[in-house]
Amino acid sequence: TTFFFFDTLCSFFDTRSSCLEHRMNDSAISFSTAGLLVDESEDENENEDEDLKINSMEKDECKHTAGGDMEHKSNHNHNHNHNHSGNNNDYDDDEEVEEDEEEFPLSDVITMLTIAWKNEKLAPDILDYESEVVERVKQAIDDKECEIDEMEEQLSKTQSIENKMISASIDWYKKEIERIRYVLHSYLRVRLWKIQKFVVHILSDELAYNSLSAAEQKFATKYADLAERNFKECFLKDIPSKYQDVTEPEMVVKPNVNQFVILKANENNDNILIEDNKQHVQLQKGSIFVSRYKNFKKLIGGGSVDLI
Amino acid sequence: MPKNNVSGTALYGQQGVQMLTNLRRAAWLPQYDSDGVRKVIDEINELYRKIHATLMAAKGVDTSEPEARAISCSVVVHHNALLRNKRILCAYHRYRMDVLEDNRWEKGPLLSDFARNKLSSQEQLYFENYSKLLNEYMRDIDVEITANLAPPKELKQEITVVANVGDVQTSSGSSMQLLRNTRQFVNVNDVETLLRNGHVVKTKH
Repeated sequence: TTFFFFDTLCSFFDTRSSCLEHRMNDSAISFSTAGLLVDESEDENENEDEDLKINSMEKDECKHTAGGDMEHKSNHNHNHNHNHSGNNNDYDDDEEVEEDEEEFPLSDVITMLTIAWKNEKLAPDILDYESEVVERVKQAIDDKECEIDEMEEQLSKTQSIENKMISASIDWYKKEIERIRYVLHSYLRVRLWKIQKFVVHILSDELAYNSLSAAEQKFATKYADLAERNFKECFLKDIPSKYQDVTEPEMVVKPNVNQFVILKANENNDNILIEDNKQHVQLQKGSIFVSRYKNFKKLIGGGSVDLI
Repeated sequence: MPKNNVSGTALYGQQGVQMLTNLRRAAWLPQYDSDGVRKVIDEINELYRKIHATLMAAKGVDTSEPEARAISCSVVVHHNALLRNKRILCAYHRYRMDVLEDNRWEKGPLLSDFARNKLSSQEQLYFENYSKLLNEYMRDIDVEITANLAPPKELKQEITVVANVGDVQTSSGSSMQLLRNTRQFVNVNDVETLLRNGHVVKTKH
């Protein structure tokens, strides 16, 4: 099944890689890796207890023996085989679970990142910054890379049949990391480009400004400064002072919140008021519909509706 | 160039529009048209003087008289022509800034000589400052977002080195030598910027 998992992911990326990311002019990409990752987590939940016990034992021993068809290993290894990345995620899980029961398991966090990324790409406006998700994912990537380094070291030291398994699975781990890293980078990039495009609007609108992270806010102010300085030096200083303002309302680029988007409902919701509170709408879980972005902006933030 | 059969107020903005069409015609960017910009600025200032003069001369005129209509009409036309010229200048510079930002994302923080020739000194300064700002942001969030611009296809790729690149640091710490006309099997993210710049190409089989 591991091969199946990566084959589908590979073919997915093959079809998508032809569209090089180019600012906001991407056509909307319907994305299904989130589904694959979610499937992973379902498997995990069944074996969670087992993994908990076995993982805590394995912590002391050399734990990075990759899955294979080695029957003399325990069930634990069997889990490795089917959930190679998931199992290591479980491993992170355990440490988290010991500290704080309320944190989401890692595969869920990655799904959340993917959903946030998708929404951000397709929304004309800038959405709230998912700081915990980003932090967790960054942490997880770092942790995983350390693990890979350890595995590679171990590879060069020992000489056994397991080496082939280890080197193969190192490859898979690396690929998985690249994919997750791509999603993370793309999420941050799309936000940055939106900020650049709508910078004057964001700086003047309280709501939009608050959906940025601290670093992004700093970037936004500095970027606006830089652009204004460039304008000033190039021509503004030479024209009459009354006309030197570039932040007049009609000159500001605003995100088009009236744009139509395709949405998918995640929950049953009755009596949603849309069109300036003039119409009622009932949402059923799983239904797909088209509407103006403005009507559902709040629901997207809450997670009850997703853009596709 | 003003057309011969057009006269009067329709002349305003011609220079600006000419600059904008030049923008569209160029492959990347045309040479920074400082003459054109100067002419448009002069036009703006001239319009402003006209407005000022009209208003000065109109002091004391009662707004109910028919004369007032003529005066306000002239002021409105000049004012709007002025605003149009200003918008043209903004659009011209904004477009060039956008192209520069794209360049930073696609090709990295260095400008090629070809690009440098087409820019005014102000624009070169803008490019450097933008690059600095971007680097600062990336340091703040501790993520290098200018890497991984495309969805990952394979982990390793065979490449042919086109330009003499020399030593390159890989992410695992070791360095590899990339000499011209050699082929190597490498991790894609190590050579990503080189691929974008064209110094290194994927081997075709």
